[in-house]
Amino acid sequence: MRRMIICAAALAILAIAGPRIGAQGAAAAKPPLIDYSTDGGDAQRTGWIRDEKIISKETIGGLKLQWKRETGNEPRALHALMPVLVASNLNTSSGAKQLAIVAGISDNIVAFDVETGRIVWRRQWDYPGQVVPGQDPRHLGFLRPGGSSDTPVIGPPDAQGRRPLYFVTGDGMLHILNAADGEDLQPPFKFHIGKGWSLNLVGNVLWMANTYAGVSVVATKLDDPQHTIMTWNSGSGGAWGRRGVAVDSTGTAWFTTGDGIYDPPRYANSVVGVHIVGDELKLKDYFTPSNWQWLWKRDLDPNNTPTIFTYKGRELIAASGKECRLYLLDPKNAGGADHHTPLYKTPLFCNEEVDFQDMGSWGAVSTWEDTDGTRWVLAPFWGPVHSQFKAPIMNTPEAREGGVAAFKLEEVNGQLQFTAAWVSRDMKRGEPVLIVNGIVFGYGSGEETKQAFPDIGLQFDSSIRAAKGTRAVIYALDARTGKELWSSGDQMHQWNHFSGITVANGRVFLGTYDGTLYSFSVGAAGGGTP
Amino acid sequence: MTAALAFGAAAVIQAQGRGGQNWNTVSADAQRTGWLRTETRISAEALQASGAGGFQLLWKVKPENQPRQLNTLTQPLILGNLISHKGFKALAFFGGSGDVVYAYDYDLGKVYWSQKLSTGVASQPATPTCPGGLTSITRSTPLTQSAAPAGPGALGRGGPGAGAPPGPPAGRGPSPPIGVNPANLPITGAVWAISSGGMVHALNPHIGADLRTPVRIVPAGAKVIGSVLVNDVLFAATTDSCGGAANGVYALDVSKDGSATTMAKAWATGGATIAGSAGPTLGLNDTLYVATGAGGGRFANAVVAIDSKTLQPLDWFAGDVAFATSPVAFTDGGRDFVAAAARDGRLYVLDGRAPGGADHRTPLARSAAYSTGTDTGGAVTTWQERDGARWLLVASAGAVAADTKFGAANGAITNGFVAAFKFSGQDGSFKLEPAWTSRDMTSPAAPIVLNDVVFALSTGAFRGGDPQLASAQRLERSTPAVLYALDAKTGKELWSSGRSVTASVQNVGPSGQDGQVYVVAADGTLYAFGIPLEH
Repeated sequence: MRRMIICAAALAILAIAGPRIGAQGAAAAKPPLIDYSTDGGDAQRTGWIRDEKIISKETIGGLKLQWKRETGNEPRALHALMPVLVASNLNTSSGAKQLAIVAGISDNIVAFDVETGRIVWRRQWDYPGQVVPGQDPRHLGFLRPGGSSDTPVIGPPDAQGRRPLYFVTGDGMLHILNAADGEDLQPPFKFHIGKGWSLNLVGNVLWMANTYAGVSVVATKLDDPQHTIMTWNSGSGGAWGRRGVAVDSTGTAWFTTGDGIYDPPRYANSVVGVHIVGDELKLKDYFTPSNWQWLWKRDLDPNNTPTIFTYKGRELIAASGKECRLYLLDPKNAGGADHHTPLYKTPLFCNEEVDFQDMGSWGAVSTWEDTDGTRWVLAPFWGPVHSQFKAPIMNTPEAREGGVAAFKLEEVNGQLQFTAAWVSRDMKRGEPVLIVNGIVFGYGSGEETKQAFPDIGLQFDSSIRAAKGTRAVIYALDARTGKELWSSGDQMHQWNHFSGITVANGRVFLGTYDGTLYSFSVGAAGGGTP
Repeated sequence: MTAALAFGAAAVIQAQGRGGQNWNTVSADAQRTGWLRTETRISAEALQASGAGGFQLLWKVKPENQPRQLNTLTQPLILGNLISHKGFKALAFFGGSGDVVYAYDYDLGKVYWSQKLSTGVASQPATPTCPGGLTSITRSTPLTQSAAPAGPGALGRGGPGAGAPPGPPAGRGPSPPIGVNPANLPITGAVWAISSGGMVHALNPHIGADLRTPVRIVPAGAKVIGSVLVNDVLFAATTDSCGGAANGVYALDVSKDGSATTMAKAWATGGATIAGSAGPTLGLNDTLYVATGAGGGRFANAVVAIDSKTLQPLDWFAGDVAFATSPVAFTDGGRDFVAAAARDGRLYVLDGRAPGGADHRTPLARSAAYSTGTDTGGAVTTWQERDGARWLLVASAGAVAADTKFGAANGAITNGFVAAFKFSGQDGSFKLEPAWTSRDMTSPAAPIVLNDVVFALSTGAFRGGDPQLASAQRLERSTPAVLYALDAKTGKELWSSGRSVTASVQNVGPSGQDGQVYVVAADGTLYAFGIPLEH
């Protein structure tokens, strides 16, 4: 059963807003708009927003809260809103619009007009077992929130110019919507259940990394009329990287596997690549750190989505995780002959205390290339920087609750290596970053990440952690030095869990646990709610 | 390689990581077997595969502690995986004679916490017989034979299928509401310490703080030689009448939170000392057993079965000489057995339901005298092959007695040795078959068994001479301890610690788990030996 809501009020506002959109469209001097159509910005999950034309070091000082809106999403466990997608020039009934589209954990999607913050369309899906009577979803265990945990992906225009939006609801159904109005473009069909992560669309193949699903990654060819679902199971250790899979130039999907056993055909605590052979997913290659037993023992698995990039014509992978090292891998021979040998690994840059919950690198690794060809790789982290880790630039206040570590990829004596460049200021639980015109956008989620407490031990009731969260704070940092250029300060009133920041067309978006979506804009006159 | 017991590589890999049976109390479990069935990393194959230097001294620490006579640190107890507010922790708990309890992260060799106990009484003079100070800690011990790894996510917390934690079938539907889970509360994993003041402290395993108001279980100054906590009842054995405490067994119901009205029950031997080093033994049949030494009364030189609920004696076996070890309890084929060694150099196996039979003097099996010495390591160790073969091991000072022919010997013995017996039979025909003797050792401690490896400790302790010999003189005449790894089926030496330990060991046997074995030296140094784990 499903229902569709198009708010009458929103329609009224759309009518009012129409002339403004038209005016924008007529302003030929305005820079071209971009899309943020997938988590991490691209299929390689680089987090590098190459084509953004509005936000720059010159304009960052003018970044202000433009609007904040309630999405109506109800949290499940600690989850609330996923990273926002932005699609420009969507052909809505009110004309061409730029929409910010955000999925909520409770099986809903809301599309906002970025200019006004008005809801353009909203969809909500219901299904049997979604909510158990008498059960408050905020008390669910944080490992398994249920609901729709994936971030949608927007595809290229179809023959009619419609932009398909792909989204998997908690019952495992794949919905293909018109991003402009939320209408179904096709009947939904079964994709896969589980705790899904950000969808990735490469060509005609839709990928979803997964955990608690009996499989690790799921894929389907969208032009397959049979809707054949291809799966691959790591055997142990589910996928936990928030940006889902990263896809290389050969079509191989790379992801990390979490806590569990390495004993082929079980591939926990590993960086794994799978590819399509016929109508099946097959293991292409993998890297397992030689200290995997230690990682398993202390739950320090590589839980980040890796990123894929090219350096001097060579495709490479960077991956990290809770142990808090950065690995450099060759997708053509990940891990070498023994599958345990990376091209390079950094020393620990955080998690000196060997803590699976409050420390380590979480979420995703990002990368960008400077104008001089310097390749940068950035890893967010939680907890203090390792006492033995020194970068040439250590920004202040010293990272104690988390931050971002930046490395340069260099060739030394014929060997590739990551060289520490800078460590950011302190952030309460540093989250995956985006790089935009020489600016790194990161944020501290403000989340209480502790899972065990001295007085009550290990407890999965999410409300315990939820009550201890503070506020998310967005930071704009100089990408070459880590120096703070801007922060949202105390403008966001709550924290978030496993979300993600979005930057597009002069705006920065981030949601919080209470279902509020914040939009900051370099052209905004100020904050407020309608 | 023995097909029946030794783990193959794949099995070892699967058992590695976290979880598994914990060394919860002295001699591993309530039955005092000294045997870990599901040790994660140590096996004869692993020791041989790791090559020379593979199994090695990993770290040693000498925590600040006030020794009292020969009393320094207790046998370390192991908690392989505590999911704490500071992460997954692998902890070794031990008590110090200065009424301090320590938790060490044994992978990192770092103190995790230490807690000074408030004794509430003035320290009493220390004598060799009654050294005073903290002498016993324990953790809650299940009354079952653990055979499979336990704990959250034996295969991990994020498994895609087989390894997924308990919950609804793989799906994106809602998981059930999870409130504060009593099973996760710190009290369930507490470290229970009996201070020199005779008070029971329930220490939070996360931070070491008292979880409850301490409650008295034994008189202040009592010499507690062992304790065990099973099903919310803490049992402790006292001996040598120290602090005016009657020799016997005490029990305290700890199910209620901090109730000062919770009174300990007690059973007194009537004068006889409590033998051995492990304290009371609890069989899988929920019956308590203690062995006694000399001292008069009908329960002297005996193994006594006691009702664990009422602390009333149920039955007993009375021997001719004092017993020298704590009893070990085991169950084979649904039948309960108890074994203990006596100062006549013999090993006795008794019926767990009726020790001594109708006349209280009939064992099921009695070995020939195997040792010329009267001193033992304080406890009998037992393990079982996968085909059911039952082994009993006992450490003894002295030489091998001429009366006993062992199947295999591992060198000449002049000072002491570990003797291994196979126990088998049916009603009316039980027998103890002398299987092997170890290499020569000085005053060996009770051995332990981790998978198919016996760890035997030549303590170097000087136990001869005048019983009233001053502790300092006894230490002077002692020699450094050496830890040996032996093949459990042959006694063949697989590894030794050589000169790594620089002091003797006095009255504390080794313990081990999760790839490490611990030795407590008389100078207060704790040694950790094991196979290094790449970090």
